[in-house]
Amino acid sequence: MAACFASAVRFANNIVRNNPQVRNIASFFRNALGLDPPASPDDPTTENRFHPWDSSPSAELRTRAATIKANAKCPVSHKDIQYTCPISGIPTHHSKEDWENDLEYHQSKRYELLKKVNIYEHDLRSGRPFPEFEFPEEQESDMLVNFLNWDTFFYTRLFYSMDTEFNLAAATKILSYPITIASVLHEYSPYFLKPKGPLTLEGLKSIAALRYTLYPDETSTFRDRPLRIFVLGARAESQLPAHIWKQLSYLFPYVPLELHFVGPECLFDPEKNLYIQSDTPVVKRVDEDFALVHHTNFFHVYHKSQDFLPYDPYLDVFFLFHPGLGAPETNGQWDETIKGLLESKCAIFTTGYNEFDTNRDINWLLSNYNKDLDILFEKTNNIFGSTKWELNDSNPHELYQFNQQLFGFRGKRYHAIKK
Amino acid sequence: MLLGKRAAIHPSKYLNHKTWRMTPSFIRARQPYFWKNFATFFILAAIPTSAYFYTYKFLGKDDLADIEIPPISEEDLKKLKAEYEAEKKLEGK
Repeated sequence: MAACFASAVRFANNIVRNNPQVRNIASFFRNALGLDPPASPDDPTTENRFHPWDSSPSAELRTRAATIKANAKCPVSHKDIQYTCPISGIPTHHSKEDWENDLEYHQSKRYELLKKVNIYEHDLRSGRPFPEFEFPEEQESDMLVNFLNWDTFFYTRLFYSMDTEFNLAAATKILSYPITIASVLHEYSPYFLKPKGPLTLEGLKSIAALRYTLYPDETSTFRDRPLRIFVLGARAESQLPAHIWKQLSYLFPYVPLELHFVGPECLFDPEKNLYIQSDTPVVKRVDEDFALVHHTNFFHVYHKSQDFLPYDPYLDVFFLFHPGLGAPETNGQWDETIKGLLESKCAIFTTGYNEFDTNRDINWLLSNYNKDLDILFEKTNNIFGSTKWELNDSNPHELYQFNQQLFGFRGKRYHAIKK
Repeated sequence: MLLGKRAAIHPSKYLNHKTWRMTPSFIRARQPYFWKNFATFFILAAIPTSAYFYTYKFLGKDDLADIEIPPISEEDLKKLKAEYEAEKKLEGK
């Protein structure tokens, strides 16, 4: 009976597909009944974006699979990786037996996240149109922006309707940087004072000072310079096109902002494929209220030569996107910079790839500078982190998301005490 | 839909332009507010509804006994009664 019905449906589908007139009538009835049109075969789905990486249509991903196989070690037998997990399509283990014996891998369902890494990477390379990158411009003054989560933010800012996880993964990965900054500083920030949220009393003091500048009224004193947002150790974020950073400026209309990227990797020349070193800051002015400034040396160099003075907690804020303060690769590199940052008494916010990364950063900070710093912002999941999952090529079992965790601190301020 | 100059000219991006239904992203964006909005709708709708039913019940109790019948003389009453009887007889045939 079921087989008979299925063949009848297949027969009807064939008629509809092959006869343009019948197809028009069918779509007329579908519209009249308010049914969804049939999905286009180009629309991203888990099925049509799934390919094992070592037989991927994209050469780039085949190279990544080769890199994993060359560099990573199997978590069970500690040998090189040769076996591709059939669920996620990513090389994860030495052999099929190792894959079957890896109970932790199957119990934690890590293959589901690995599969997401796989399908998101293939979707970005699928060549489909990307309407999610058409960004809105000025916000009308009577429309408030809702920072509850990505969905309400996109809706109230009138972005493209991000219907699928693929849309979200593509858009949130690049928008995560400007919107994370905005969500902390904005007057409708989703982060509340403790115990309702992660913000400490000291944090509220710092943020209130910045909001005094961002939301001027007739009692505000005259500002002689724009608000400076420093992005230290800038890497990928400094290569984002200016119109993406301008999204930050749209959320603070009529407030002059300057974004200062600091670090040896903050200015990249894609034609020559190398990082540019410049003795003077490279300024890209977007419009009269917004400018991007690149400083191509370490922060502590500028700090010692007093290039950024005067610091003002009302007009300066620091953001460190995945600094890896406590990571073994950056051992000691951040020491002098952190000293300078704490001296400035301005708010400092850092993000982390995952909970392990952020905990390591916080432990490093607290073990070295415990006496000199105040916590502004307890470690929390960043509401505006990237939703796209990534994996580490030298260990495919280490999964992360850009800006997944958020944390804030500041150099201790000593007030005069009446005795 | 969001009101404003822009929305009046361009149809919302958050509606499917074939079926005119909300897109999944729009539904997700409204989800955190759905039950609270529904409760507010219920409270607001309850005010006129309860006013209507209270009035209906209150007016239903009235038997209109307090409305005065205009005075009529005995003769006129006999005349009217006779007319009424005659009419009834005619109908009876």
